[in-house]
Amino acid sequence: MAHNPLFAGLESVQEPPPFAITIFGITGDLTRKKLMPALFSLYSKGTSRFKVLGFARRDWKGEIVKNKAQEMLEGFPGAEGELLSGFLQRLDYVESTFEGKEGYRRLAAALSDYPNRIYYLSTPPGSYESIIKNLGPLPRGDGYTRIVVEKPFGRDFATAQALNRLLADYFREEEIFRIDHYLGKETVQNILVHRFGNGIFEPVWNSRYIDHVQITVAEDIGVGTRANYYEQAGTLRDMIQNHAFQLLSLTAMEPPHSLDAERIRDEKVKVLRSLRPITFRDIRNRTVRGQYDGGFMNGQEVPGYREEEGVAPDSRTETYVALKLYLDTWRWSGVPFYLRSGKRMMRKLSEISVHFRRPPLGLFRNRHPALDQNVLIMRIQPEEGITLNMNVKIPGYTTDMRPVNMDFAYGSAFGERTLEAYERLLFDVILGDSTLYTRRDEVEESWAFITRILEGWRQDDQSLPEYEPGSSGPAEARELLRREGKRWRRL
Amino acid sequence: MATTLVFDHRRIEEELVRIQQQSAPTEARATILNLLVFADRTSRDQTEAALGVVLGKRAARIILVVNSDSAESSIAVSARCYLDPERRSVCLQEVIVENGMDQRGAAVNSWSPLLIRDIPVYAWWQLELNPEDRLLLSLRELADKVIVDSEASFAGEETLKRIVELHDSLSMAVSDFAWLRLKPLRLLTARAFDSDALQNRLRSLRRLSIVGAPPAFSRMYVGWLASRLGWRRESNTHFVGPGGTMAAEVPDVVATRDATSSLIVEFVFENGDPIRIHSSGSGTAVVEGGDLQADECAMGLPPTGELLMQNIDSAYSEFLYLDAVRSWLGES
Repeated sequence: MAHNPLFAGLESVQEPPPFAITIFGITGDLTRKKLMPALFSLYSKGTSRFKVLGFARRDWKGEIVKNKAQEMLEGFPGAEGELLSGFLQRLDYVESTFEGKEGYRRLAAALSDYPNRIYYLSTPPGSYESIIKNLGPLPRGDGYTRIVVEKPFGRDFATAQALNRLLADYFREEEIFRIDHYLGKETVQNILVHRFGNGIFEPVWNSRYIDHVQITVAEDIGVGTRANYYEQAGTLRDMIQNHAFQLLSLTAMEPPHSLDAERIRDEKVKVLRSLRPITFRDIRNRTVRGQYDGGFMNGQEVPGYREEEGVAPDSRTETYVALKLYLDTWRWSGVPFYLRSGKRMMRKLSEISVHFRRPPLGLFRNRHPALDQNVLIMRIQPEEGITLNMNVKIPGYTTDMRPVNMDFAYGSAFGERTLEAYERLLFDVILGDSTLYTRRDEVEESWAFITRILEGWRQDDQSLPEYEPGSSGPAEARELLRREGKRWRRL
Repeated sequence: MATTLVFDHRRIEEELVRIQQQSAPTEARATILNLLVFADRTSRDQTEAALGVVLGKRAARIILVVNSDSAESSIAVSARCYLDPERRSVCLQEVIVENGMDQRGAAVNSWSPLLIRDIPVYAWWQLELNPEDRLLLSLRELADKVIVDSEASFAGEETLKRIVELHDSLSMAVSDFAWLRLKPLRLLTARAFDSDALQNRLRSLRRLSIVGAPPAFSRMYVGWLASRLGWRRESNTHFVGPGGTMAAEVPDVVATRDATSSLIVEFVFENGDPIRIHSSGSGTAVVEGGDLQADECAMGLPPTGELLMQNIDSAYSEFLYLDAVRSWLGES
């Protein structure tokens, strides 16, 4: 219909049309930790016209799925009384293997009253093909059909491309939502606001003023119980290809001409296309990988990676990666982007730091290289916020200077719990907004770049350096910057 | 814990810092807003309850100016802190000014130096809305936005006229709790008439009657419809629109502050069955009738604290609200 003037000012509270969301693999951890709380939260905030269907092998039919959901929501704020029981009434279940055609027939019957359908693949990637091939031929409702695919989206360029092709056989691109939950974080979304909602940064956001950029996605935990998955993945696939590259794209992209999802994603893809490839010859100069050793963390003895349960004693899977990247664009020519990610590091931390060039003339005494550079830090987690590091005069007779931090108070006084990433992402799927999801070409470009590195590593028989748990990574990573006269920010 | 002091701003600041340090178990978050509250004794409890909702969500400095019967004015300070999910203290610093018969407390320079610079100032005005009131006029310079509740202070059309005057003549941004309470009904109405056929049907609306709702609420609702649909007020009871004339019937007396249990809105058209929105009696409102699909939405009365929270993150007037009020007054 033509524009309804009565909706002006109500867009943010407009309830989406009724829909059904089918979670494949509802019995898994992701549903328990993220999806069920997110769905309940949406329900408690007014999204009420929906049905949740679980589709998995276990016998969770009838009241069992409701009881399981109630367990998942134990302790969640507001999950009690009439609100909880109202939510649980919206749950249903189809017991089936992902290959069983009869299960999909029953699913189709259960969905018949819902013209709008969302299929959420919360399963190991090995099940994607069966599910997609069985979902594809299912009769569609009169409304929309959307499919959400969790990471990992492939494990290299070929498999990512194959998965994209398979999806494209049954779904249009605008129906496919590839999740990277980092994009659901408020602080990641704030990168765009910070860059394009303020007039002072963009004029200096280029090679003339910026010396280099560091992007860190550090974890303090080891592989834990995920060794089976991690041995096949490694840090480059698990963290760099997705989360770190999202931070890179948002930091380096050109301003979009609108906030339309496609315009933003267009600019992000351009960043990935402009990455200077890392060839086999560059592997040792521009990449570092390592494995955490055994030792002590937080007063506890912890095993080294190759001593973890499920990890081969001769494993060459990396638990740490550092990369030196270049973007061959007018804006960024000659500016190195240093990315690092690892497990069992000093602390859990994600941030982007933009290191500006030194003043062209050193007027002040006690000029120390470390003092000269201004650094703008966008802290993704924890301590979300933005800090500008600058030099000020030390009180006294001389003009000696010292660095101080100016904290931009993004969210620094908000005592409320920020929106969970999955809640935001689920709501966007419901609304059909793909801004915070990864597009086909974005996935393939990032995999194309990463796959070259993987190939290079495969041919490089150099042993993986080890690093102490609770440290900032292997010495080779420090050398990556030191030879350029730079240092990693302390974790 | 409150400490009573003389009107010595430096001492007051020192005492606020001391009390907050005592109250805050961990590092305190930066204060991001000033909230001036002008109240009388009868609304003090409601004010305290509303501030309790802000506690823990926004770090703020509250200056509460309360009219009292005491001979002399007095000032006291306190601080309350709450641990947020990241275990940082989110504090409310409170400066409570009892304005006595000496009127010293109401004097602007008794408390205005205590406003923290470079952060927004919101003024919650709970007293009579008189645009010639010197204290209210002083907010032009001091406050970024004035927050009112036209329902609580409703004295007929004059109340709404004064709100428009605050904005237009005195250049103050204004927010109104009564407008926020209208949101669920606006949403239900927008959803009900969300098709070309039903939008066209609105052109043939001949009578719109509202019973069981507060008067300011009812007038703003009609004004909102008028402003959105291009109707112009022709007389006290009639509006003229693209499809003809519509009679609006709204309650005059404050029979209820709560539209949740007794609301009936009836749309009567030139042809066809009427459409009604009415309370279901269980915290929702239902729309049905004519040839539209029945719908319902939650229709609760949000606590004042929640309404206050919705007002203290932006320093501008919502244009839809002002349009609705002007449309009702026939000034658009």
